[in-house]
Amino acid sequence: MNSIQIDNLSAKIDGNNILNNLNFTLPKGEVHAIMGPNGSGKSTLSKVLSGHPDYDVTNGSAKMDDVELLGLSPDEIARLGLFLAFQYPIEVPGVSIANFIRAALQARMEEGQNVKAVDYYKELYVKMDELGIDKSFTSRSMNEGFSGGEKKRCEILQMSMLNPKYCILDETDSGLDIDALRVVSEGVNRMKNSERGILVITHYQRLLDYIVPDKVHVMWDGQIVRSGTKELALELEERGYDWIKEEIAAA
Amino acid sequence: MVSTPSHSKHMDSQFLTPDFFESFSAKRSWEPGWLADFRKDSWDKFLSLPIKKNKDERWRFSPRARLGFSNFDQLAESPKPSILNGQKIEGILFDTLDQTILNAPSSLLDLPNMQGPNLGADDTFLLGCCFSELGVFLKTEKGIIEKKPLKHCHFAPKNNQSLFQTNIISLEPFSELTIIEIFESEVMDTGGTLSNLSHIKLAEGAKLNRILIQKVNQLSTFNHLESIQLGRNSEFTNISLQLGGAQSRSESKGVIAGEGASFNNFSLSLGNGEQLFDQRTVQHHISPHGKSNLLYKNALLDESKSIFSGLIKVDPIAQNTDAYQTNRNLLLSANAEADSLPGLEILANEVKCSHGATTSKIDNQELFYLLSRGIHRNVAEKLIVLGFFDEIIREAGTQETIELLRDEISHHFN
Ligand SMILES: Nc1ncnc2c1ncn2[C@@H]1O[C@H](COP(=O)(O)OP(=O)(O)OP(=O)(O)O)[C@@H](O)[C@H]1O
Ligand SMILES: [Mg+2]
Repeated sequence: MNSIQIDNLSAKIDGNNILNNLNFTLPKGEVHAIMGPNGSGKSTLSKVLSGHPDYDVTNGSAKMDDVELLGLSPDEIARLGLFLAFQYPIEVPGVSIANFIRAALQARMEEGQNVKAVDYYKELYVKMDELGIDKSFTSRSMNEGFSGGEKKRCEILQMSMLNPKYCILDETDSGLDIDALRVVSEGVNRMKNSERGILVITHYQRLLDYIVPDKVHVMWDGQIVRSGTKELALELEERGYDWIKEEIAAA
Repeated sequence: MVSTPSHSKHMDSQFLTPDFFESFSAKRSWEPGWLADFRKDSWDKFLSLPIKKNKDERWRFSPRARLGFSNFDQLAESPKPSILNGQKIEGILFDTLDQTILNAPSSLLDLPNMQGPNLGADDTFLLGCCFSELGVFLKTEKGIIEKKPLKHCHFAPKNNQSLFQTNIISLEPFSELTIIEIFESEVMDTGGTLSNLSHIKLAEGAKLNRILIQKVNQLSTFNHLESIQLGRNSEFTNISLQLGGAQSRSESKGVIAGEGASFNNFSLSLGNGEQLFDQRTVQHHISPHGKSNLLYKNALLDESKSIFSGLIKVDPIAQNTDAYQTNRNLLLSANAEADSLPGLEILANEVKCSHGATTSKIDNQELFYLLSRGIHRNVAEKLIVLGFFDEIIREAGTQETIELLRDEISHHFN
């Protein structure tokens, strides 16, 4: 199946269970959103899928286009086509944006092939322009001293340069000003196509006005407890999460 | 002649016997008498060195046996000569040491007075004085400014042999020069020990930029003993890149001898396997208004190890000195190890001095971030190391030298 398919996934960190028998499917060609209270495990899910070594997977499977991701190294998973835009992007001192992205592209080339510098910079500059990132950033160290919004733009820049099959955007909207939210959303929308699946993690319905999801899921205590259409996001915006908690408690 | 048949400290090394020294001297009978005397004098001093003490502060943390000469029993018989690269330039004398002994011996008259850094490897220094054959002599005339780098390349010997050489670099007043010094191995499949004595002297207002790349093979030992004299308002910027050697010992002593002289001493070491980098430095200020800035960065993979021991010494007369000394170590493996011994000895009161050392492990979140972009682990480590080294690489002047350093570092990861 062409999807990210997660079955009964449980994971813990430092002995604490964070994901509890989680089930979730993101078909390619669709945009899904996950919402949920702080600490419910949204970032954990994105890290586990990306192969972060700090998490212990205790149960379940996570397949991307029928390939089991669990147990693969983070770089293998990325080269298979998963991209995670971090909630908190990491600073990489002394490594310029240009060299960083180039290395990521190079990693995807066949043995003996090289990224063509001229084409590379041309594409990079076009995409930076689209995302409102000044050209002077190419030589700056990745994320070092960037503002919150600049970091988020830079995540989307990387995503658009690397052409992934599936994208997870972890709170890409937080830290963005109103104009940047539009610019970044447009960047994500340009990437929407029938061959790519996109998962946005967010707290705010506002983002979903720009990036309209096919489905919205609610995560609570390490599980997907509700799934619905984009109207679910509006309902959450209005009513908060308490009613869902009550329904779960009642069930 | 000393009568002991074999010097007790170096039982194993064939070349450390009086007989061997005699035959070596005989081979070089074409040299001027003063030079023969100097070799003999150094030999006698070597023989009368006190037996190594186990507790020698100058060797603290050093697995000294690894650096001993007993591992190399023969002196290289026909070592690969140093290669000098660069056309004849008006006003610059640039030749091999042997050619200089033949053609311009008077320019070497000062050699017997040249001191070593004296930071522990006295035996290496004295043996270098006895047995140096190869090396370069470089001297600029007053006011010569040469933009194009002069390059020279030296080779560690093969078949477990030992080689000593001396480089003398001397800049007359207001001359300016960039040099690139490469140390590599004659062959890749066997190693040897290369001991290089280096004397650098800058006269008033002279400027020297030096890039040193050490990439002898990992079966070899590299010793580098360097003394630098900085005259009034002179400037020396050094960038050393240490990549090679199973083990290496570098001693560097910079004497800020003239008022207003400035010394930037940068070093990058990248270790893997069981490589050892033993680094001892002194910045000695004996004149007012001098500046010295030392930054040694070591990135260590696998089970590699570095030792940094540095001293800033400011004499009472050296008022208004600015002197800095920093050692930063990045450990990329749990089994890598870095020892650091920064030190200050300040006897003047109007000074700005600081020293510091940090050792940190590779940041796992940073590594994960690179991996999550599909970058292979070895490339990710390479990028992190290049990033760690970047503040020094950027000082390398031209784009060409910057690329040279980056390429050499990158090769080390392949
Ligand atoms: N190293 C750790 N040790 C213990 N608990 C941890 C550790 N790392 C994360 N957690 C816990 O895991 C839970 C889930 O965290 P996660 O970051 O996945 O939440 P989230 O849904 O992304 O929240 P937010 O909306 O605030 O971003 C939190 O309660 C967090 O404190
Ligand atoms: Mg989160």
